[in-house]
Amino acid sequence: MDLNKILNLATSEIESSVSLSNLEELRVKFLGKNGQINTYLRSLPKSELTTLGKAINLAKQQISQELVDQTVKLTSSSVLPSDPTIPGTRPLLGHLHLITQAIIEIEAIFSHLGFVRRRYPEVDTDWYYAEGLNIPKNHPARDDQETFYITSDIVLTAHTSNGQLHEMELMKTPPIKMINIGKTYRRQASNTHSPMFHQFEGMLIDTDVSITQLIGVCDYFAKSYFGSDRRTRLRPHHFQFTEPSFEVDISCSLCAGTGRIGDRKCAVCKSGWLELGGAGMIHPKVLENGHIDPKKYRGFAFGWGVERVIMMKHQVSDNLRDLYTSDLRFLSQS
Amino acid sequence: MDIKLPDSLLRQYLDTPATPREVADCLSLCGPTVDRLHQTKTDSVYDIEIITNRVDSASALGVAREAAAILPQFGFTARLKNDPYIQPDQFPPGRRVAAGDIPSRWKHDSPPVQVQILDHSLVSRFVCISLSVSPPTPSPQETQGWLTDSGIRPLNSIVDISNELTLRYGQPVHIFDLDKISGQKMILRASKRGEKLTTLDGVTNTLKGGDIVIEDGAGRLIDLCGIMGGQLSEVSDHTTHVLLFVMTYAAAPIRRSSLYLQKRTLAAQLFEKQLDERLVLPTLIHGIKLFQDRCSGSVSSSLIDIYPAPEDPTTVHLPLSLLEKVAGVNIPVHKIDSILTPLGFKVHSSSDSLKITVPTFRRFDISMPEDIIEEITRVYGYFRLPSVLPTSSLPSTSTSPLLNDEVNIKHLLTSLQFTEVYNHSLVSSQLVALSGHKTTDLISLSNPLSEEYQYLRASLIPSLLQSLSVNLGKSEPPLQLFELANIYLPAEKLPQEISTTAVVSLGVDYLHFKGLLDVFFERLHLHPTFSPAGPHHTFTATSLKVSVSGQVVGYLGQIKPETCLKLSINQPVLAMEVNSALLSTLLPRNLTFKPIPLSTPPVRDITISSKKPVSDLLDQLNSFDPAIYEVVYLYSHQDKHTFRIQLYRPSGIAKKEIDSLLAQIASKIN
Repeated sequence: MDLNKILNLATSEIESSVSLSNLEELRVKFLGKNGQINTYLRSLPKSELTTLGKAINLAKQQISQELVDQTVKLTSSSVLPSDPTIPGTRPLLGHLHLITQAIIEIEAIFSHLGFVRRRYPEVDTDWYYAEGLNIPKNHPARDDQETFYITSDIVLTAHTSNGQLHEMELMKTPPIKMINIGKTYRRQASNTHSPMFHQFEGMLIDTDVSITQLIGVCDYFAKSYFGSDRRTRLRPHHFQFTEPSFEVDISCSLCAGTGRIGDRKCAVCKSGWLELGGAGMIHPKVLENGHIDPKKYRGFAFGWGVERVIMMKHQVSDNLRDLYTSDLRFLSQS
Repeated sequence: MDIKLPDSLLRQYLDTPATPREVADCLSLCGPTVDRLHQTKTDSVYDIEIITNRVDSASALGVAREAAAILPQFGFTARLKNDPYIQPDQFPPGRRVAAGDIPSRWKHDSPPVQVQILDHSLVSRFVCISLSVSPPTPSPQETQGWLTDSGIRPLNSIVDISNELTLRYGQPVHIFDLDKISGQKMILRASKRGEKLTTLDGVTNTLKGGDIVIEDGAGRLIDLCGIMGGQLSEVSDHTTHVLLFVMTYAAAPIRRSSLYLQKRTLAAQLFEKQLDERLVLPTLIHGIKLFQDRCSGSVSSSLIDIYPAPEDPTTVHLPLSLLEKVAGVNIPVHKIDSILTPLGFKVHSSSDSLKITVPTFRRFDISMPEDIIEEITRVYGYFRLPSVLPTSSLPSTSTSPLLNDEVNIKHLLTSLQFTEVYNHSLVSSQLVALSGHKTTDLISLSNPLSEEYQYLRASLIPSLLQSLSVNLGKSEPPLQLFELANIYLPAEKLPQEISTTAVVSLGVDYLHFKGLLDVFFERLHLHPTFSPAGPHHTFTATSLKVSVSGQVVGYLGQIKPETCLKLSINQPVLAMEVNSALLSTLLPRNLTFKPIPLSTPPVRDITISSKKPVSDLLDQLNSFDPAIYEVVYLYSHQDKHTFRIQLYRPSGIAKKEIDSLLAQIASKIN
């Protein structure tokens, strides 16, 4: 085969090549050690080498260039289908539960304020759960607790406040700043309550702790978790383990705290405000039970529902039980 | 407790221009919460939540007193009127009603009944008087309206008087048909075990003993005190003689009886929270007046008033500096005075502290400075206090690493395509059986609400299997779920709560599943070893026991098919359950990175013939010689297992050395 024929064959084969692997084969076929150019070169008598040398080099260069050109052509052609808007192939995904996401968020907010995350027993003795929190046996306040018992002295905690005395015993000396997040249980027969739910309990004890600081922490949480336009307010309430005791409200986002949308009543809130949960200044007796001197130290504590803040923040469901479904059609939306 | 209070009844005790809506809003911010304000035909009705320590406010009088203190803070004039503690129409103005203060025109020689109190600790004040009355007629419209709006059915002029008094003062009142009390005798005592008493609701109650009861002259029980009257002495259409009867009882026995007899009457809910003895007589006097007005009543006996230990008013000292520290703001003394006085407190101020006399009706809930601080700041308005961030900061303190590790494990499992579920810690006996546990080995509730939630689970797997079954036919496999929660194992006193992680997969082949978990451990920088599970209550025998650093952390493999079938899952389920608390203690906190090779390491494929598990061979290869940079398992054919080995030494590795290393491997690993 003469040089021109090789050149023409190479050009046409390279031009019609459609894959990079085929181009590689062509490179070997024409420019390889035993490729056609080298074979041709070896077939020439020495005398012609000097005269044809230049042409052979040019041919090599041309084939190389053509290979490069064709590679560029192949790789730069579009890989998109004719309609690039068709939905892609979905990978299998895992999802973190909404409750976990909320707990992570809550922990982060309070850790910004210097509260340290704790976990205390879900199943605890009556002392930590009630008696030590100034709720004597047979006290009417026990009516509201809806408690599951294991024995008369061991309960499934209906609130995370059992962590208060545990934390005082652990830290011994204020300042104490904890956020205790855990599972809680309530003996409630209702289609919208779950016997298990989650609470987060904040507690701060130091020498100069005031109601205004509790308000500060409530505000910080509300603005961080729900949005910077939200406000909180305290209303009187009663808990055995705090004095004074409060109910914390958050301004409703739908009606911006006015209770009205246009000339209609807001359908979501009670007159502009939504109940977040309880709080209070720690009762001196509870401090004493935790071996903290109530003459020297004061503190506040609050315990709020994780599911409650989720349902206040997201449009998920009005029914707490829905959060405990295993249905992936629900879980994969989180 | 919740009460319904008609606005017109409230205004019997309150003078204010504020509208019902304004009253409701102000009360909710500073006093009892008004859950709802609704309209009836002729009235507005407040639904009010009365907190347990404020039984004194569970009445028209009590709410009026709150409103008289609170409304002025919002610029409304407000005044308490018809205060029963001060009765200007009966006594010299301003004088407190005291025992024996019965008007002379009601004076009578003979007592209504013979009263014997066998245990004075049961009743702190006992007051009664008898009246001759005309037969009962319907009550006035106004009374009927108040009762109806408060959720009480009007019956007749006699019975309605007792209910109206309760609504007005929060002090329950009993009216007996005097002629039905045998021997005109009443013996108040604790019940004996097994005694029977038929109450107004027609129920014959068998008493446990220790209940407060009244026995008549014939030895019959005629009153389940403080809870419900007895049928024997019930007022009827023929009643012409009544015994009007107002008491305060010891709270604890009332509560106990009311709970075990399941009679949560309004009277019981009031008495169990301790009522003020000083309100007993004014209530009785108002009752006499109502009988005179409505039933042509005339007093027919002297008054019996047994009040052995009148309480002296208590005082509380409040340092003003403490008020400012707790409230976080300075509240001037004149403001404090304007708050506390309408609530019934007497304030004596000195330069740096207040001496406060507590009214008798508040002596049960006010005993320390903090209680007074609450009264002042709530009426002042918590919502008026500024918001200040605390500056307290902790010296360095660390939290349990487990809490962070759990979050990392959850993120890791999500990235490995598992979706998180939250299942209940409480499970049914059926679910317990699925895990192969015996219910007797688990912690059981003593007062479960339903069979569904009875035991604290000792494994997460059964709940996860249930979660899988929920998704069958709804979501396409592969289904991959995980849960990270505590399991509960019986221990000496409190159960052990052990953080546990479990995953289940359905519609995934084993090597894919195993690959995900291999990565799981690799990403946690743990090197698990596997051994046969052997007999296990959940996993098949060919499954694996997983150990890390010589400690068993859990199991991995297939769930017994018969277990799955019980939940109608007829496909293989792969699962792993590990003790995450233990894993957390084994996690390396500091990592060691191996340097990247400076040149591409030579690669050799090697086939080893061995009956050992491949994981053992891998372990052996990996630790065989420092020059082995990486080992990858390729495939097996019966007992022949092929691995690809990269060899590397920073100083270079000669072909001869490689050959000798491979020869050593071939001779030593088998």
